[in-house]
Amino acid sequence: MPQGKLVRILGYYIDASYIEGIISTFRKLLIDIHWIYGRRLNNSGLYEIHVLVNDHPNLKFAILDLSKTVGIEKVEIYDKYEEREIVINNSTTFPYGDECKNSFILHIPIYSGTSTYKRGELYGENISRSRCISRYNKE
Amino acid sequence: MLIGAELMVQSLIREGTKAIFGIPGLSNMKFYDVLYDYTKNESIKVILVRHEQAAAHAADGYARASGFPGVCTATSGPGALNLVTGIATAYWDSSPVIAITGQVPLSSMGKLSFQEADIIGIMQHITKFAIRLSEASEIPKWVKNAFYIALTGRPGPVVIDVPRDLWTRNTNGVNIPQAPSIMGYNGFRYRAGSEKVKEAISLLINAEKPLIIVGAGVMWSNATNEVLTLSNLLNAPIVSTLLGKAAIPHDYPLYLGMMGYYGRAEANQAFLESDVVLVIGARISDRTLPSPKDIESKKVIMVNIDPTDIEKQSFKIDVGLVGDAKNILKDMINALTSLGKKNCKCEWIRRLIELKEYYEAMYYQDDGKGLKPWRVLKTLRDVLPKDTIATTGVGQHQMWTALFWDVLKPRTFITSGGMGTMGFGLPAAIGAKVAKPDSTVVNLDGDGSFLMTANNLPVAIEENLPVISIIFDNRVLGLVRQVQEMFFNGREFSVDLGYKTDFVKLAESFGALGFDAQSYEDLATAVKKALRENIATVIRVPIPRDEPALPTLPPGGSLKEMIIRASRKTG
Repeated sequence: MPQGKLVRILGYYIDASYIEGIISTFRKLLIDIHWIYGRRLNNSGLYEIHVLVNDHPNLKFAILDLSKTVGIEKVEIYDKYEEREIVINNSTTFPYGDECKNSFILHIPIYSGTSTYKRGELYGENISRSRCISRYNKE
Repeated sequence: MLIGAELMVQSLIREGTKAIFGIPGLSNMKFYDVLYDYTKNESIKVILVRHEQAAAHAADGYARASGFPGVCTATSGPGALNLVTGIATAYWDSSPVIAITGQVPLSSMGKLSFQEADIIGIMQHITKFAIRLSEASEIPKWVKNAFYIALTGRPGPVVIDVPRDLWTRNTNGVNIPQAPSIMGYNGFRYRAGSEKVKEAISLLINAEKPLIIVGAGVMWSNATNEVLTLSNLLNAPIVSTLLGKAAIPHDYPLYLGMMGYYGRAEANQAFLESDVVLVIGARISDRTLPSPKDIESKKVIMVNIDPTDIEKQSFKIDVGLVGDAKNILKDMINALTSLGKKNCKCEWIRRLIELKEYYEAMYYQDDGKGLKPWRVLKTLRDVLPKDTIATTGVGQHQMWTALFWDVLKPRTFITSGGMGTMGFGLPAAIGAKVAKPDSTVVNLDGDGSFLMTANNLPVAIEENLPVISIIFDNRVLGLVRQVQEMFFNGREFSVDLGYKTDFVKLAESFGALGFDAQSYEDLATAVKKALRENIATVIRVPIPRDEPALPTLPPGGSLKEMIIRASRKTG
């Protein structure tokens, strides 16, 4: 299982350059990406993108740069991150390792808190997990 | 009912655009067709440059001279690609440039169409923001947003890519936005907390050897007066970055000049000896502080509108003040004034005077072997008005100008700092002259740098923009030659430009005045004639091939390793 830092980016999609811009921020700072998961959260074009990246000396630069990028609402870093992986094929869930054709591997983050960056500044740390579902409507 | 091109022109005019620099082509032709009507009633001026790189540099020069975004345009493919160097230059130096690029029609995109290039894919990495429009009705919104993005926080360039079919598309009932609306962008904070301000003041009051480092942020914030007031209250000397030269009148007695890689020795030495450093509107690049070790023992206060510049430093910032320099400095001045403390710091000031006199005696020498750059610049300063705007190219002449050109008014020094783009000087001067037609504009250039964009000389002639180009002509790519001589065992290679180029004939062939100044008196006479004739002019000033740009540092060196004399070359 890859080790690294899990980063969540919330921002507004205009076209696919939004995703390119996020990825290239890591690329420019020589940070490798292990996996990406993203989806649209609402009709205003709010997107959530998770990336698992190498814990690189340049990572702080990347987070700061991303957080001040036009269109990015905020960037969160998951602290003390671990992950659990499950494999899904149609409606069936398998334990990780039982990978089969046409299956998806989902990386489920397990974390104790997040640090949030907005407009180039650390805005606070959140150790609550209780708003995981309901927050999507508000953001 | 308006078509997209009309919406674009009206939107730009509504935001205050008075000039556009560019070249028409297939994909921005309808834009030009509409501009034709608006130039007839003088609502807007359209300047035809001779290469799109110059359009971006001219827009940049316009922005830096005026404080307002400069606008450039190019057609799709090669036209837009030629803007790239100029846009990157503006981004590195935090200059608000807005580029309107034509694009192939939506239906042709991504298919290797004629003159197609993925401009968003390229530009998004060298701009603050880049957007490709999908609907003509989006034009007013994104033009308003572009100006807002370009000017708020750390300024920077914005690109709007317009597919050709949108220029002609009819629009009905388009809302003209009164305010910008960008999801996920709302600028940066504009004030630091009072506790932080008090912390900073406390450090400065208790400092024995305080020093202020000024960057371009002071110019963009119009905070020159506040910096001078603070310097005066604290008895703190000022040094600047290369771009920060534009913010400080050099006749201020406590200004020591530019510090850094090619900085003035007294400025570098004062920095090394200081105990508390107040950095205002500067990101402290590797050019200003080549070795972070030089700052490690100091207390550092940093004022910057971009919080990431405070967070990113490899050295410790004791107090970071995020916000607009002018507002923060006003708060600091109020706090200082209310304390009513003023320490003469006589020892520190005495030491600075000593440093200044010691190094000036070293710089201002003339062995009579050819024209000396410092004396050329002094001659020019004596004959040019106080508010003359000086632009530069990149190379040795730029370093001589950084060392010896006295900026006497804010926003009158324009150079390519972060990107170090050769060829910047002439087009930037053209842009500055459009922005400030009543100011004298002089392009202090090198022969190598000037020749990179000299094809724009006819722009100055045809548009009646009487910029004066002074060419420090040593027939060599001097800075590269100097590095080869000093640090590559004298293996000088691929730097000589030959002796056939005749700058006087070149100028005359474009309809400009040309002079060959063989003495300081010739130079003064030529400048006076250029001012009198009020026409674009090129004045060639011969400089000995081996004239060095000093002080400098060895590669990877610290400010403690300054090389001050040519005789101190290392092998």
